[in-house]
Amino acid sequence: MAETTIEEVKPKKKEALFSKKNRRILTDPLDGDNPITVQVLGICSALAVTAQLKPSLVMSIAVIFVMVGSSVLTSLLRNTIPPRIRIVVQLAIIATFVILVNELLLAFVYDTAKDLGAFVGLIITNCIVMGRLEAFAMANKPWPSFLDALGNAMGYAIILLLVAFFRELLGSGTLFGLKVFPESLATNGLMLYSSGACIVVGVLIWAQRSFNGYREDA
Amino acid sequence: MKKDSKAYLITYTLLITIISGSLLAMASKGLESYKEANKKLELQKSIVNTFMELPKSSEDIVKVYNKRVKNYVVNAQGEKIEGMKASAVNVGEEYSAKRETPRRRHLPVYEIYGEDGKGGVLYYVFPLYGFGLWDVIWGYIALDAKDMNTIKGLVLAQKGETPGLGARISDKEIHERYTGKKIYDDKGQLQRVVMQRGEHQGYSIKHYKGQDHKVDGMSGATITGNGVNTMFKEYLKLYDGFIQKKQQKK
Repeated sequence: MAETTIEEVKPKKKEALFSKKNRRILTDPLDGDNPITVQVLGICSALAVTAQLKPSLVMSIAVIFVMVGSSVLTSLLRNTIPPRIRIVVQLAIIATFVILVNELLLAFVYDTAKDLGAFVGLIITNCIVMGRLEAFAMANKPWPSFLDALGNAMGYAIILLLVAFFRELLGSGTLFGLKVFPESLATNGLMLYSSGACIVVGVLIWAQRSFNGYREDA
Repeated sequence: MKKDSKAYLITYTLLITIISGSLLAMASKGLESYKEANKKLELQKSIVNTFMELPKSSEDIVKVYNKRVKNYVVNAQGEKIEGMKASAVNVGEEYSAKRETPRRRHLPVYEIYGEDGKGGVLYYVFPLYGFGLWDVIWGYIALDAKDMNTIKGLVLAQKGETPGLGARISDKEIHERYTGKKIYDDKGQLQRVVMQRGEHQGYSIKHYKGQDHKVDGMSGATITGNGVNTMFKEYLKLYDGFIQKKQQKK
């Protein structure tokens, strides 16, 4: 079955696990190539689940698990996947991991699973996951695919947590459900809405770009 | 087999489907006991939470439940259905199966006794069930057995409401707003407790003090709030028969 038509070019020297190239694969998506703030992918869930830190954290972990799992699996199968149905196969792989995560959450962290509700299932439609499978894992070996998935998922997680931090702090005056601001201080209701998240993401993008000097290609 | 041949495509698709399908079925079956236990604990937790602060550990919650809670099932006329346990009634299924004929639903009643499990009934706990914005919402309400009118405590829960907005109905802070409110007016008519528009910055409980049928609402969750209001009206109406009977006995 696993008959391949693509000729594998064997590298002459075995590449180190954390070679410079591999390190870049891992760290680029954290800042310069961040999936949310630079590629503007996965925005929907970044706006939806970030009203509080706890669900954002669980969501981040779930996305990391799904991305790493499906990336490595896709990469392992890459030479067997028929090109004509590759998107369907990728989707099936992602969906399998997502449902698995959902089952695990329901079995072991029932309360937070309830908080997240439909959004765990919606990881299936998260553009970052499928984007990385199609753009990277389909053409690379498992180890770089693992790093790429981890990097992108972490890049997503960092933004998610940052947005949630500001939204929960300003919107509810709490962090991880613990009161931070005194009762007398008015909270900002806008932060509870997705529009508030949009503003926070915008400010983050501005801050990041003025810091690292990134410019959109004209 | 050629990689772009039809036979390869079909075999590949079948394999992927069978493997991922059976894997998920196994996971679901394997984790079922955990999920069932979670659900049962969830129910006991909600009921205990209507009348007291939750004990820290799950074992303690189960202990309190087993000692202080008795249950049975009544019909909309308030008559006890013999030989039926509340755990046999799935409120959600009852709701959808008898949507047009709500008065034929089986209605679980939980009686709460004192700390030693003896003496008279202190509170009656009834389930609530309805729709929020995205999905079903449900809850449990504890009424003081003395007047069958004053709300001792309320627990609300949701499945798919927006996190941070409608999902707040499962927060303790929202539940506390209902404590001490009344479900009947002076004339003995059933009144729902209505969430009001807007929110009053942490002074919620004080804000509608002295107004028996009003509580503070939730900013940004009007539709979920409406769902809660409707749920109150529709579900307590079914228990009206049972409550009237208990009130007459006094």
